[in-house]
Amino acid sequence: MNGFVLLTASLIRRLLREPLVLRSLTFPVLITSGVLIGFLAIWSVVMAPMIVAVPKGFDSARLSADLAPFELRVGEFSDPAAAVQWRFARVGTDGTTVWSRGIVREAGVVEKVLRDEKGSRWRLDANVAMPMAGGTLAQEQGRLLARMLSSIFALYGVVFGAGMIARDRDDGSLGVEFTLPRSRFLPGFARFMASFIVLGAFLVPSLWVLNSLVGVPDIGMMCRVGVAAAAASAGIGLTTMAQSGAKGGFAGPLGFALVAAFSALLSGRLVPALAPALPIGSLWANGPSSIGLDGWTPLAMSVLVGLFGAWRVSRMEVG
Amino acid sequence: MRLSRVIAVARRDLAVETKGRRGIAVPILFGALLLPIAAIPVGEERLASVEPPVLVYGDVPPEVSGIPGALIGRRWDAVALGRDADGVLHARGEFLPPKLRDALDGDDPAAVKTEIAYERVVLPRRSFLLALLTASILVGAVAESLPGERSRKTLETLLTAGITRLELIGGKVLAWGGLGAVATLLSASVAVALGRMPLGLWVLPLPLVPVCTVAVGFWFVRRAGDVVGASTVTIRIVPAVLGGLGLLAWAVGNGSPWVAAAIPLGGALLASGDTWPGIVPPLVATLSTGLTTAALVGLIARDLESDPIGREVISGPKLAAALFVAMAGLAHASSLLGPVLWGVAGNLGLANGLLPGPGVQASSMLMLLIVAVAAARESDSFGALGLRRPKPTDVLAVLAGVVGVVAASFASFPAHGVILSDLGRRLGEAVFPSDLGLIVLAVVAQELLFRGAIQRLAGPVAAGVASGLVLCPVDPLRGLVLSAVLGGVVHFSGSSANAVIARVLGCAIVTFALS
Repeated sequence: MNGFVLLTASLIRRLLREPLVLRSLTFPVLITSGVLIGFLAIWSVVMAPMIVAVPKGFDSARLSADLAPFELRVGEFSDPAAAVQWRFARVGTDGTTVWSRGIVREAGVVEKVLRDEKGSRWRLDANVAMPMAGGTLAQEQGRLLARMLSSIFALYGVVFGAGMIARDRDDGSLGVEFTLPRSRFLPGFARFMASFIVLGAFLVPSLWVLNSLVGVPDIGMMCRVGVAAAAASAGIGLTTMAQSGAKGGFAGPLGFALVAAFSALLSGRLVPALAPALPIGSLWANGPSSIGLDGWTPLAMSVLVGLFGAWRVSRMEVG
Repeated sequence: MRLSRVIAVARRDLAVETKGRRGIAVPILFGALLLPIAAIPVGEERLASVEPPVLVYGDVPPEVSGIPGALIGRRWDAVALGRDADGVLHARGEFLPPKLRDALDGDDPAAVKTEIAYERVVLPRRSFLLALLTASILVGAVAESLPGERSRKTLETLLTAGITRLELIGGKVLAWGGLGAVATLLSASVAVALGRMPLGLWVLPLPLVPVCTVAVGFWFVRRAGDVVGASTVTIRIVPAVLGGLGLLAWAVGNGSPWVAAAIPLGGALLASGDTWPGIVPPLVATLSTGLTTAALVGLIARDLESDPIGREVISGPKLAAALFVAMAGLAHASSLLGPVLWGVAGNLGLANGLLPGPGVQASSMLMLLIVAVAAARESDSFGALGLRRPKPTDVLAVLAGVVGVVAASFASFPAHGVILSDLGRRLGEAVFPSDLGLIVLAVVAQELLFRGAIQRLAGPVAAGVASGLVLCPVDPLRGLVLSAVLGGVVHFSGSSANAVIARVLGCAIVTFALS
């Protein structure tokens, strides 16, 4: 047991010392949050001001008062529709028609206010978090981003698992470990656990960054499912590399492992009944079914995949 | 460049990398992924003209349930309908389809109409996916080819053979780019034969996408020392380059297709999807991507004998400290200030809904990760974080620290502007958290990073200035005073644990006093 802990710790230390690994693991969250923040920054600059264009002479006193809580100001233009088109105003209205450039939330606000003022047959509830099955639209998008980020980590898991075996096989250190007077199972399992811990240590904060930026529903479950996917992928990487043997190269087994991990990703969609238990398939399980996930089962299953990979490594000939 | 030599190198590369079962696996992989895309009748034309479906749930009136094709049931993108106490119908949803509006309005004279001006957005067709997927499949082969030669020590042999560097790289690009080009053209011919795509000039840039992607991949791994290192580069960078240039070309192409087509690789990717009308965009895309590929082959050949990059480590304490501070600053700012941008961009509801707590947690976790990296760099991990066994005199240091923290929190410094109030509130939550769990998490992360790792690498002054600017950019005086107090505690007592304990206690007292 002591040997296993020491070996795992030294493998973790080795991974954390390699800038290549650090760059790889920080890359997804940098890209995701960077693109999101960059987009928001550009959007806030290029977007039209929070002005509602109305025709000259339009009686806007009540409209102004109603729109004030939404931080919208009323401005007079000779042609409100053109003002919206040329980005002088975010929304335009003449009291019966609302103009907007694309679907913008403020158009809903103006429509809601106008319908309330005029006493229309039906009213619009705008700018309200919608209590829908699976959460609001923003939460749904947060979940989508979290799944994408976790999928990237799942692909990294494959490279981690395969790479840790391939490198140590090629430089001879795996062969040396096999000659030591301890179980042949330990080198493989220690590599799996090191990948598990390092991938998890980078994925969980990355998901929390997304949570802070867009809000990810049930972040704890998402973290467990994401870590399970990354860890199981590392197990797949270990298995395929061990399967390829001493002279199997790297790109070929890696390709097989990537295809296997990708197929496992799809399995959640193809077999929804099993999805909550699958370590990689649970990541993209269909919306409502994913709400029932606890995340612990896939996590436990990922350890089983790792154990299988370690067993395959223990039977590996390293030349 | 002699063509026969280039072909010889290409044949050798393919023979080495596809020997045995892998020789069968490659065409199976290409076929399994590309043929369904080429053959399945999705019908892009139909998709483009389909009206948005009417999805509703709740108190659905008969005029809505009678809309042909209306789907009733709870789902996240459905419109919720319900009546208030006065019996007035309310609709709630991100987007209400025109059919639904018309059905609800009927002949209501008080109806409000909406006119939404959409940007004209062009979308590529299925051949775009063929090019994209083929280019993505080749990432592994690129990582193995040139770095594999380096790690097997066969690159030197090739360099001493009777071929030029240009022929060597040209052969390798031909091997994998050619394989991708053939696979793409074959699957595209299936799409054309089945009538899924009309034959057009889009076939010109189509094979160039995998060829140029392979050249880009070789450029990034030209100095990689081994296959594993190269794989982490290609799997990370190449899709980002391909996707980024594709997105750029798409965005530019909505305004000017000719300019977009000139964007190397991205232009060819979009043009291969028959995205833009006319004969100029595919020709321009073919030319620009072809020239880029040729230029890359030349540059890779020039750099072929540079020293390989092995398993490098971050060297130098000052550089390491600067990197850690930069990473921490980025983590802190994006987690805590990112949500504010939603408000600036127009979504105040979301900005207000994103509380600072999760941002503090995210920032603290990332800082703890940096702390772990800093500890892993050195053989004495505890020493790397400025930790040592406790001494009795530490009590005095902690007491001094607690007094300093409490004083710094209540001291009156020049107020920051009203415009920064939301930023200040969010950043303040990270420095003086209001929740005990957050206090422990944030303080341990921040103190171990700034007073532990960075102070040891760059000294107390640099660490204090860095922490003041990263943690309190809109209240810098308070941040600098706090840093000076805690930096002093660590400097004179010799242990960063004292700063952690002093700040946890200080923050707890402040929270208790304010509650």
